[in-house]
Amino acid sequence: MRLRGSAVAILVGLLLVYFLLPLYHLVTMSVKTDVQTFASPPVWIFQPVWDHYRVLLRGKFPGFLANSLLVSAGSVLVTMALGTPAAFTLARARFRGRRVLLLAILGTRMLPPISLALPVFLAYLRLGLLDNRLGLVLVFLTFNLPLVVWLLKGFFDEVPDSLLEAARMDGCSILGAFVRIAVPYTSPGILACTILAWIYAWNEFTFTLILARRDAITATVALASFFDLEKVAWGSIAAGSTMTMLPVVLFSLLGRRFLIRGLTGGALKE
Amino acid sequence: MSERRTTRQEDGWQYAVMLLPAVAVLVVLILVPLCYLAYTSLLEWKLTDPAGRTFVGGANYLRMLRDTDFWHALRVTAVFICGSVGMQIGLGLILVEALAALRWGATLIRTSLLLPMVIPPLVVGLIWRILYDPTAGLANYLLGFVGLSHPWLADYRTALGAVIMTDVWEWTPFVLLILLASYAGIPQSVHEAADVDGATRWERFRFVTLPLIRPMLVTVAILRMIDVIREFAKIFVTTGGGPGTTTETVNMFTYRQGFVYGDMGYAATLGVFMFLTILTLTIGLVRLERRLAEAA
Repeated sequence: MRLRGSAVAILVGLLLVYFLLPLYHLVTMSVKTDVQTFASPPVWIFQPVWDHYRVLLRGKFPGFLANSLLVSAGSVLVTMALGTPAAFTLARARFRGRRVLLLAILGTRMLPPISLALPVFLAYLRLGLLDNRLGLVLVFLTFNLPLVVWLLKGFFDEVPDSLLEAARMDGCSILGAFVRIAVPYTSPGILACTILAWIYAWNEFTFTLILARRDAITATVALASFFDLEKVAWGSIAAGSTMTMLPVVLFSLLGRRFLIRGLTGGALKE
Repeated sequence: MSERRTTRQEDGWQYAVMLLPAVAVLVVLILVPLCYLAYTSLLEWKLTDPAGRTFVGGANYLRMLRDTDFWHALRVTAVFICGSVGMQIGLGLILVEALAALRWGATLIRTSLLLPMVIPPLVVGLIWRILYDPTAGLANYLLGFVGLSHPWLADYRTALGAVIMTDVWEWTPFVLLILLASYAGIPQSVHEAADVDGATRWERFRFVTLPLIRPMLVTVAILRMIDVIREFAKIFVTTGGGPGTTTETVNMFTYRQGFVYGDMGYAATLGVFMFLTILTLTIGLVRLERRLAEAA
């Protein structure tokens, strides 16, 4: 048994190294000098320097981060405003075509982005919405709205019928019961869905690459273009990547318990 | 009776107000574009061609079936799926029992597992591009000890494998977390009964655990297949489909036709193909879920 215990410990140790060392390497690279970055053997102990961040923050990168923030926040706001009442209705109302609608929403979540990006690109070309932040906000609804409706429906299913019926007895309308009872009851789930939808919007790459050119590009697309330069600026890439993933890491630590459910279980439960 | 009916009608009106805006948005942003995609696939339409578009019927579909580059991309996608999903499920199965038995540090492990799958996929690609780099990367330094230093992404023989490994790093946690959840659902008594019957660890795994978690494995495999077919950011930033076209999946091929060559008609045809492939997989997934729900 002792042997098995230490074997598990070694396995777990290896696993942690495998998943965390690449992240550690990226983050430390962002605070190393170029000489330290290319040193072999790698430098493990060093005085952090913030030059890469200074260079990045003086350039265009803050603008791209601001685009990421505006587009993700805007699309999540619209997603939640439209998705929460829709999810409540799908959980509570019984009507013809409800099942078909639910399946369609599930199917929509799986769509390949490129199949939508192409017709949307052609439409935006005509509407003048290319390289436009509003255009990105709209297109981000295509993956976040189905996700949020699907996950929130699961939360609204769990609201006890008796609670809603009691509210109706007291003279609440459906809308009133939704606003006064169902939303407060599911607020942890709503908050967690907001975080998850925000992460997907913040991380988005394919649509933004295709639909944004210059002014509207977000941090992820800006990062991809760093390699186009003649001399690869490793320090800037590492610093930019660290800045881009930092808010996601913080938020996912906050919503850790739910995210595991949202990212894994949410896809499976009907 | 009549009072109840009027109330229900009023309810219906309120429900409609809550549901229809979301449905309208999904119709405008998804259903309409998909119809337009299907229509575009019937056109000869190059953005670079001033002549504009002409209706050509199924010509683009015939071209796709005869296009050796398309078949090559399909093969790359198949290898990517087998390699990536196979390794993720293999690793998941190896690790699930050890991790399920873990008493200490479970929170630390689960939190660490969460990180690769929540950070931007593009950053995952960048991390690995850095790690694989012959001069700045850690991979070659570590592998150098065993004499395996190599330009992994630049060599056409290893590029696809190297890109697959980025996906393994990002999504093994997903498979593992789902397997952990379904493993936790197996009653302790089932394992104890197997132990009492004198089953070895392997026999217990093979004849007790595996059959119980198999439906979940199939579900996970389909979900991961769908994600691999849609994979874009990591391939884009590590190899861009190269060297040559060795890491060009159907998705990357579609992107190149549409947004590098500006061939809207052909790219739309490929987009329809991708949509139908994923639709088929999704229907399979839903059927499977329903069977599981009925069995439960």
